[in-house]
Amino acid sequence: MIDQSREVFNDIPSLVRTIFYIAAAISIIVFFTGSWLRISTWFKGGDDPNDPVPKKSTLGLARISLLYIFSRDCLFAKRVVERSKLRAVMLLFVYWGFIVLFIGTIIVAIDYDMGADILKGGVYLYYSLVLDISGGFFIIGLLFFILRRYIFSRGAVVSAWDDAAVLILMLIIAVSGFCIEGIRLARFNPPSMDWSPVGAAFSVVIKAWIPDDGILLSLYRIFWVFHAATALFFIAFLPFSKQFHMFAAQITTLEAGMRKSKLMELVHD
Amino acid sequence: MTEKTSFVEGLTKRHLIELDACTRCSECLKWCPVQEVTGNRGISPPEKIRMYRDLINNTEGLKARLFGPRKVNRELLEEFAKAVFECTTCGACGESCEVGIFSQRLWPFLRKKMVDMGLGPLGPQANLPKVIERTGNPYDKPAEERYRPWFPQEVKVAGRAEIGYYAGCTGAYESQAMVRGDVLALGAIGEPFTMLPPEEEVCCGFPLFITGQHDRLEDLTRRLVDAYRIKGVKLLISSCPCCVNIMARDWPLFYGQELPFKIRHITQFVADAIKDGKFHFKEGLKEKLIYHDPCYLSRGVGVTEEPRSVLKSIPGVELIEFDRSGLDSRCCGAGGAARKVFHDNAIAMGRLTIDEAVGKGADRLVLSCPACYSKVNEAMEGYDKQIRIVDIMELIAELISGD
Repeated sequence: MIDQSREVFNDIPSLVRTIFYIAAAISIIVFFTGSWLRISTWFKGGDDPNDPVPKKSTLGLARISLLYIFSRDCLFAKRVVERSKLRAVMLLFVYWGFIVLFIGTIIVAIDYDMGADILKGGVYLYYSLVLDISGGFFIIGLLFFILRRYIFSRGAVVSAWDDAAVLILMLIIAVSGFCIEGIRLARFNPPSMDWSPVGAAFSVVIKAWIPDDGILLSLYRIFWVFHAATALFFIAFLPFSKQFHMFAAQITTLEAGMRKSKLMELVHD
Repeated sequence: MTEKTSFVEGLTKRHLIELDACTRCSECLKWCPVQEVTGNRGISPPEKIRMYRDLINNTEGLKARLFGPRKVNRELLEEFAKAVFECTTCGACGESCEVGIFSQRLWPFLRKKMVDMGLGPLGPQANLPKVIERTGNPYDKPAEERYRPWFPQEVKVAGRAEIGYYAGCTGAYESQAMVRGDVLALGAIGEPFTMLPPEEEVCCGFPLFITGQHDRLEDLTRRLVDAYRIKGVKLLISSCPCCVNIMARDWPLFYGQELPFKIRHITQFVADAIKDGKFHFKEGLKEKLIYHDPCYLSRGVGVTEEPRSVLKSIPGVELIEFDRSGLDSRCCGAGGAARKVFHDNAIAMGRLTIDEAVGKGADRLVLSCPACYSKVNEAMEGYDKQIRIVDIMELIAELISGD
């Protein structure tokens, strides 16, 4: 087995690391504040006994919106499958890609910041493979939705400014992540390269264009900062954008399934 | 309109979550009948949701919480009000919604918010409360004409019975062949049924509900529910999908408790009677029929199978389907009390239904809603495509009485 482990802050100056942690803390605080504003607004609404959404406290609704991300209807995009299989597959690329990359980031935090030291050897290689492929699918899905919305829509898709913002932000985050990975692989050519097929493809292109290690190191640092900044901005921006649907839509999707039976009860019981 | 105007008050938790859930995937645009005939993306479901979210941000957004409510953009508000009233509330957008927004319920409540803010209702809709208060119906017709012109005298109505029949205002005044068919079918089934005296059978409240004018709803509901309760009704039947909808879904809320009777659409009652051997067609019909699902019967209360089962039980009938049928059916243009305000839209939608029915070679277009019946007939006036239109209960009456 190849002896490799996850590199987190290699070649990143300590000042940048410190700034990163401060920015991350601010971004998370903004995310939770924004989310709270939106969820507490939901709670200002009244109750309708015909609604399958049960009477819940604000925290209860917040919990439901998070837990239902993992409901069968949401994880497999049931309602999208019914309308368009292609769009459903692409949505699942984005949905699962996002979830896997998010979980991957949490694992890094546990591994590096909490000192769990789990991302090494075989575990690291599989981790690397899963995240690499998920990132690839994530980009394919995002490109599909960008093309659908802005190139092939012929006026059939309604868009606002934040549709473009969230799609482009997510694409920038994913692509810049692969650029960092590609530069790292191009510089060190590690034996674990085969476990990052998408990153390896980026590295081939990068190596062909920029053979100089000094330039690669500078680019690595630039991309690292850019990737971190866009990712943290996205986290903070999420509750203030339409992307908050990723929490609200879990509830409506699940509720729509329950509504069918509730609807039938009205005149069929 | 003040800066403190709340855009949240009066909505339910579900409405507010739904407003945050829209992804603007725009699948609904393919199914929205208003989009189909106007192509105006500015009044499309995702745009309405976006506009209303912007209005909510005036009072609930981060800036509003930190620095106080922002001044409401009057232009945006007026634009939104027009868009939400131009909708037929057919709910096709909700059925196709990939995140399951229940739009058939969302739009009426957003209309109510506009009414509360003095931006609705539009045109003749504003007269509804006064007219209903004066005559008991939205058509400003005298109560004594409610049953007289169409009621088949050979059918006996019981003073008290467990089955109650509610004709409804649109049926009684505008689609009389339908309600006559209802009563003939009830008579043929043979179970005793009762009706309220014409002056007591007032509006079910749906026109007020759908135009956002909720003030008199509790009163109307209480009058009707108590009147049927006194007559010993355990099962209330109507052929109007809008009436059935508000009775089943909203009457318990306005009445403040569970209703003392169950609600059924007449096609459900006839389908059960056929199944139980209480009713059968003596005559056949060698015709190709196409059935149109009314929005408030299909997406509203999930009745799609029973009308088809009734039609299929007529010997000789070939039943064909629209491309959009069942829960995906296309609105005929009559819905949401928009037909009298946005007349051209409604006629254009009605003609899409006619076009398809004619294109599929149907002998007759079968409806099961008095508003659909009235609007599709109107849409055919002066149109180059023609097809015979019949209400399902009118058809049943033909086969019973040989009319």
